[in-house]
Amino acid sequence: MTIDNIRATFIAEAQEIITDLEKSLLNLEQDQNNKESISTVFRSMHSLKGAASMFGFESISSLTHNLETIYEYIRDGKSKLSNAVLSVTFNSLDHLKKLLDDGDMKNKELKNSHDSLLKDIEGLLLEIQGTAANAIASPLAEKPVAENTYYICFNPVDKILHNGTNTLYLIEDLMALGEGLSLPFFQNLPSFADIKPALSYTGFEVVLCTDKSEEVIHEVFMFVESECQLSIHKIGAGNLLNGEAKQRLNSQGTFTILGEDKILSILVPASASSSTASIAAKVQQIKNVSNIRVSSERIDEFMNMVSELVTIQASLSLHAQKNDSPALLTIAENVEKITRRLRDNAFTMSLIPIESLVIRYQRLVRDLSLELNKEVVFKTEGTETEIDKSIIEKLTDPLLHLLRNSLDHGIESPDVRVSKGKPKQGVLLLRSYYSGANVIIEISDDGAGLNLEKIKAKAISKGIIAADAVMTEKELINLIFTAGFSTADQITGVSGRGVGMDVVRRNISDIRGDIEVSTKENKGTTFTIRLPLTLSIIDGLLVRIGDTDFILPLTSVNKCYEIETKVLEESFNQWVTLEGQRTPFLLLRRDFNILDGRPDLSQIIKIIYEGGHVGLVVDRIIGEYQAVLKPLGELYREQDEFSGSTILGDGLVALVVDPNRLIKKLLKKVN
Amino acid sequence: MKPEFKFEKQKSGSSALDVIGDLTIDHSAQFKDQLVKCLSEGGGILISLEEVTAIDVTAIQLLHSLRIEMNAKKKSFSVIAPNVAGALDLLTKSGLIKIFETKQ
Repeated sequence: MTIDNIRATFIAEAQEIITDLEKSLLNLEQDQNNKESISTVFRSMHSLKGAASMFGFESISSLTHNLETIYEYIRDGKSKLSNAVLSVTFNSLDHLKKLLDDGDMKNKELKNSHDSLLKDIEGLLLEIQGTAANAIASPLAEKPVAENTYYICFNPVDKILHNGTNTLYLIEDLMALGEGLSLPFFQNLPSFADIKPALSYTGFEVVLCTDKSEEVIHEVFMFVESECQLSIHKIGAGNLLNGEAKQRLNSQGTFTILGEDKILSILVPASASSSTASIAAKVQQIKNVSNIRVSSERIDEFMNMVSELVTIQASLSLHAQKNDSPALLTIAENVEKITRRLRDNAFTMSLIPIESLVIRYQRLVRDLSLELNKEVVFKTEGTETEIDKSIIEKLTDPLLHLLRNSLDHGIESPDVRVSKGKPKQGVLLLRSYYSGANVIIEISDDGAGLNLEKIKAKAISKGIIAADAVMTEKELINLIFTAGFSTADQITGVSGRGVGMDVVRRNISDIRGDIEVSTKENKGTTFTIRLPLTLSIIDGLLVRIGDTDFILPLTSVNKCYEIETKVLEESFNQWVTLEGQRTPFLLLRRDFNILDGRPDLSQIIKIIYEGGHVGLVVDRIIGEYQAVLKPLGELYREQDEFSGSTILGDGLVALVVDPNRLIKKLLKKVN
Repeated sequence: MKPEFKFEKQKSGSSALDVIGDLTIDHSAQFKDQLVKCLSEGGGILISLEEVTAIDVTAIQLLHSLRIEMNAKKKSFSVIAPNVAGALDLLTKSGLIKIFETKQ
């Protein structure tokens, strides 16, 4: 591992800690007595300080040092959390994020704000220490906390020392959590002549009695998790490491690994082990649950390989059918089954809860509502809904924009709300849920709603629509997605420059999603975003024009009809009546300039388009097809009517159509 | 702090090695060279880590491995534990201090 890699690992882990920290601080803002959040803030500061110091981020270490002490006082009930402490912690959090980019504070401004923050924190600490000295012990401090005994086996890889880790410090940190006993062991220690001086051959079994949770114990090893085998199991309630037991265990000076069962039998001898069986059963139960951390790059690589496998498997199935060999067909079917299971498993691995997005928005809503002098409560529902991580990454900006818009234009100031008979505090709700093969994210506010008259007037004044244009409510609402459109009377730093909503729609459409708006004057506005669960695999309809194959996403397909090609070719203005409904259609064979193999009968696929329908005419419908999406590459970046390609079982390539963009482009051409 | 190794051949034929400073991975190869030198003298070995200021497992592994070799050769081998608070504390908490008590 290079120094850069080590720093990158630290930064990634530190970002995770900061996210947790932010979440806890937002909780504390709502409830300053939330003990769990106070403990999390303390632990996060502790972990950041330790790791930063280990990886050479002295600036982070210095900032978190006194903050940790402050939260230790608060956690132990020696002081109370105040708005001043919260405010400084929020500022420190923002500063910490900057320090991750510029740990050496080469930026002078950053250095100045660092020094000023350090002073603020020091001042707070002195104040707290003064109060604590005079304070009467609080009930929080008197409350007894339950202790448990844990077995921890830490067996590092032989190169662990190469990244600057001193494993002895990790054991020291562990011991700081309570009463413990460490039993070191040597694993595969070579003879003196063969021993490689820079490798580690030493592991540790530790029995730890602590009132801290398993999660806290885990945090000690958070930066070396990928470089060790680690087991942490609760082996009993209370302190199993009482005087005699500790002595018995300590006399096992063999430097070989004892194992959890042996250690447990030493701690709880036969006569006293009536509960050992149940403890052992519990241990077994705990053993069955474990998590490992895997980098997202590895998951991406794994997904790519699974995608390749799906393609190869389709090819195998096709060849098996062609060869008409029962044995080969059986093998192909089995491979297909396993591939399908593997694909489903791999797919679930890349899903992450929407909650990971929400935390940063909570902070945004807090800061923006303060800036805009509005009182807003941000509520979330269903944030455990999971979605492909690549979608989450691309969803950040659109959601940010929608929330900013709701805060700036939607929710009114407290006096306006009161004058309208609404509560002073506005509500911003982010709700997500599954709907079939889609995930829906709704952002709603209880604000003023969209002013449709104002939208129309603005569109006329900007020349977007004609003055006498007759438009439905939906069409009027959709005007907000036009480039350069804004009804804001004033341009603020938050929103209102007219760049945003068109980008929001485009970004969402890039991830094969769509957005709808519903609004009611003085009741509020709801933005509904519909997204696919994943971007890598698409349920499609395989169609053929001439001898070229195309895939249409099934989510856009409404119905299919068969009709004489001649009728379509001779139709006036490209409209056809389908089940009594006049429907515009596009003859793709003509638009794609495919001249050979004109069929007598064509297929019209009715596509859902901007609240209505458009028919896409193809020669043949082959059937449903689960396509693994592949990018088209640099040469095709000028076009957007095809969102990718896929390799079919026979090795041929089919283009994946983005129906909305294709229809838009072709209709423009027709008009 | 860069370690300083003081080697001395004693009248009894044993080798004595005093280590002063940090005995961590950065200097583990150098430490092994010193131990090899002691071993090549053929007599017993006495190592003092009393003035070692920082330590990690690399030093302990070398000492443990050498002890096994010396025991096999039936030669005397003793090591004095660090006396500097930081290093001593780490060894005590990690249980590796036992290596200095082991009599084989």
